[in-house]
Amino acid sequence: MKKVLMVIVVVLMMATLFAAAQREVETKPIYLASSIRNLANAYHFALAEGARLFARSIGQEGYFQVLASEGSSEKQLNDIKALVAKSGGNAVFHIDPNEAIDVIAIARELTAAKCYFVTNYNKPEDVDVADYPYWVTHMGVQSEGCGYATAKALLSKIGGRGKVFVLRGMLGNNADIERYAGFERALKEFPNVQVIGWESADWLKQRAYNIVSNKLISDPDLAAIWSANDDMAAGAIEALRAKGLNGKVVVTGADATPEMLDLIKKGDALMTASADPYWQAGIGLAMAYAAQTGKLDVAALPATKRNWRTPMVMVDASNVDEMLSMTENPPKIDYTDFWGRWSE
Amino acid sequence: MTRNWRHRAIWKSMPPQLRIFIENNPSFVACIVLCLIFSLFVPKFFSISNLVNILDIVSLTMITASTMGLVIMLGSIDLSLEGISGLACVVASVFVRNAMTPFAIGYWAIPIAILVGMIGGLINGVIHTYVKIPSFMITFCMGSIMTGVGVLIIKGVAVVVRDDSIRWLALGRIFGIPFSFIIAVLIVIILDLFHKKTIHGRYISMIGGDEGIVRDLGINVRKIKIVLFGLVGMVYGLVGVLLVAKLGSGHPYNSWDMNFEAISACLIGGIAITGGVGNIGKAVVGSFIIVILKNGMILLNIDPYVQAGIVGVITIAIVALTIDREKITILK
Repeated sequence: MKKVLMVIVVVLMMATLFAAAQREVETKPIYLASSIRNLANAYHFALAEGARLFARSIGQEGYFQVLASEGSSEKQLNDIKALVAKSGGNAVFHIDPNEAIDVIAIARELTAAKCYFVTNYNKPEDVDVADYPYWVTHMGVQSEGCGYATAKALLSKIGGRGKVFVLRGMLGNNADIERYAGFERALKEFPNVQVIGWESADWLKQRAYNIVSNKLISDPDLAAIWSANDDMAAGAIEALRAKGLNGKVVVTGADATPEMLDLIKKGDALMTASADPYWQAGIGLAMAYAAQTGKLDVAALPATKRNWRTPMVMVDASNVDEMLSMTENPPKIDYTDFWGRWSE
Repeated sequence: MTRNWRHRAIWKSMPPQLRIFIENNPSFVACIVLCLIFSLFVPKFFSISNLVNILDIVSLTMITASTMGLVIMLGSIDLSLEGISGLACVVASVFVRNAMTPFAIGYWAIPIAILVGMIGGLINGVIHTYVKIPSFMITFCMGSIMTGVGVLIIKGVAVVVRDDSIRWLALGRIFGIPFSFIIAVLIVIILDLFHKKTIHGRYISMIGGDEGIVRDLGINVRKIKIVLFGLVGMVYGLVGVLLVAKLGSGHPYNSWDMNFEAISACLIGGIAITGGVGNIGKAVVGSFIIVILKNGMILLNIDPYVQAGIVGVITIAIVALTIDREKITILK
């Protein structure tokens, strides 16, 4: 009797699974995903939210997923593969590759699966988007321009002379490499500035605090600190605050985190830069979705629209209030206007 | 160490109490030697401002290393430090006056953060002892869970704190000494008294040395472990509050790096990773060595590309010279 009951239960379970699978095959929704590093980072969180807002705007939030790689390239690829399998090859992706080189394996995987995708930020220069028909576009960021603009503002603010200390991020990241390149370009215009050294704080606030605390001992007459991101800039400012130097030593960052906007408003920081992650990820995913649904002909796009850089907005005391209000109430995005911020 | 030392005459001419002290505290001696070398060769190292700076930076490491030391002496490991203190940091920040939530309960956020830490620690202890999951596994998982909860609460955006009274815990000075260092000293004294003067504390090293014998003596090992993990969690909660005070914001990543630093401080100080050997003082000495090394690298403007390598080499040298091999029967 027990055996009979067990057989009936197993058959019922299998029938249910089969029925569910059949329902999925019949409806075949398009899964949408945002693959980012981790949600603990304000910038990456905003990317994921931006993508989610797009999914919500088309009534597909139930099929939207955030894939957080937690800094692991392997996990990022595995998560993408898993969603491709789950969706039966009917998925679109917005992807911020963990490292630039990862984009090759991701592109191959998604090309084989015939899933359209858009990438942000990290990509090797010699990788051509046009080699992968399902890679809609790569939206880089004008990181070098951002580094240049923040450095120029910083060095101008100290009158073109004095000691400057540099805080860099993870040394292998495109963002760090390009922003620092921008800093070095600006530095050439200020020959009387003395760069007393640089340290990598790996994008971390606590690490930046300790580094700057120590640096202020060897160089108490520091005039400015250029930081490759806002978290490290905030750490530097707290180290300055502990010695009563906040607002007296000029500090810049990048990413326009709410904390940094607050510090600019208070006068403790000079400038940051916003890449509008909500827009980046939202528009990126919208483009991939449009391609998947036949509304965007990827093959017909010119090369300049397959690989381009989105502009960054510099934020200082003159426009920080406007940026703060946009952070609290993000403006509505026109998800059909793919090229509104595009330029050659 | 004495059998291999060349200058037997100098060694034998030292007072016996000094010889015993050096034999029992090689890391302390290494720390003093490091300070002497840096004082001679590193500009501004031996200045009041730098000493205050070192006390400021070492305070959190002292606290975390002391608690980690207790867990290591127990024969376990705790990888939930970053997660629990990160979550406590977030919880404390949302309850004091801040830019995100309407709460402003001031110092009452401290016991709430400590409670959060205690709950995390107790969960570690209970699952480790009842479900018999190895400590490194359960604490690693709990750390991830706690970090995840912290991220969920603030949705990735750091909570900017506007409470000056809480900030004073890190920014305040008493006779020029950072208040955070005074708090650290108090915590270390309490933990040391707990370890040396209470029955519970004394059992910690005994369990770490040979848990089987302690169990055979009829001592409730499970209870001791759970209580210790709970106590350690409470201290992690306080660390979360100090992070808010120091960094002016609440974010789970404010505690990044603390696991590795705390464990390194214990090992450098001379606490055996196998358990049963060591004391709180060694953890404190290890903390100072780590902070002083990093301080020296920055003051000397050593190329960042080689800093990690130099710190690694010096750390290996210190541990190799100071480790008491006779007390370590099992090498892991």
